[in-house]
Amino acid sequence: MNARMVKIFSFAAVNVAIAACGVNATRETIPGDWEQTSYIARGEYLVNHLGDCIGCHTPRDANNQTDKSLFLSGVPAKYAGVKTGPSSIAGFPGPRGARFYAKNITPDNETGIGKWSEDQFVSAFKTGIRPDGVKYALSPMEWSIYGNMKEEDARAIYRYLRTVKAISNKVPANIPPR
Amino acid sequence: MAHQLLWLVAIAGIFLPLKPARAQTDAELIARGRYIATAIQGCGCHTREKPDGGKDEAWHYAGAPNPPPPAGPPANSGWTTPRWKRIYARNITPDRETGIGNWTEAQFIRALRAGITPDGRVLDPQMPWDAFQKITDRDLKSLWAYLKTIKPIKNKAPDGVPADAK
Repeated sequence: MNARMVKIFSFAAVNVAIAACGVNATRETIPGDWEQTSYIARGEYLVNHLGDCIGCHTPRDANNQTDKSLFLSGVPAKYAGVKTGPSSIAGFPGPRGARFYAKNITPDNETGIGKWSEDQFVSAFKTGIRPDGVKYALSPMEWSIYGNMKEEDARAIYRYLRTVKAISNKVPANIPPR
Repeated sequence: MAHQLLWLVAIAGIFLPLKPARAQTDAELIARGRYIATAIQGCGCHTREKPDGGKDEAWHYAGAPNPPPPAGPPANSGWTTPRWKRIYARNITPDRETGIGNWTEAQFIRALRAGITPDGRVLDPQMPWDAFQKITDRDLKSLWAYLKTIKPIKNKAPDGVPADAK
């Protein structure tokens, strides 16, 4: 390799390095006090493990194990009206006859949260108010707790939820207290 | 020889920054545990509800009432699972007789990861220890450190009723 080629190669290498820095600078970095390396990995950890969103939002099979084929798609529509049984079938009983059903949080556009933007999702977590302006009722979904969540954690959850399979399932409508 | 030394220094320079971070102080663990418990994993099943459906903070983390009401939200009246006709959330306050005040950190981590209590009982999957298996050591230690700081409350949660009970 002659001197000229070395020069060309080093010039190219420096350019690549600068370009790489540029890409990194535009990508938001995940806070350093987390073990996970990316927002999606952080979201997976929160949804499937630490926050256990799957525990309520994924239906369970006959052995009380979460049914992976219905991952995060909420109480199946076919159980509407069923009043006895586990909460993944009959919903959670609330005060004065109320009943709350875990929602479909897959990216399905019609029955899930496919049309929610990241900011709408983060705002719902912060304020307990849905994108359509309706305030969430008191329910097993602990909005008073999730309102304390760091914005980055809510973003991580959203970004992970965008990666799961969209499942069409219209969850039975909540029954409000009498 | 000088070359080899230089290499050694260079390689050491690469690896030194990767040495494990210093151990966290108790205050840092407690703060992280508090964040987890008050923002992410509320452990809400362990706090009974008031008649309006809100959490009854006077009984924060003290488990289901004893005796339990026959019907109502599961945090009060228990869950039904394939193994249990009724199963009730336990007292996870640091009360020594009725809570987890006598547990060690290692016992706590075993219960959350393997679903086995210090006295050898296997926890029903209603307590999602299968999902908790992959919680990091740091987060479990943090949660434990935080739980030790909350107010101990005396409440012996009701015993579960097995599915085959008459």
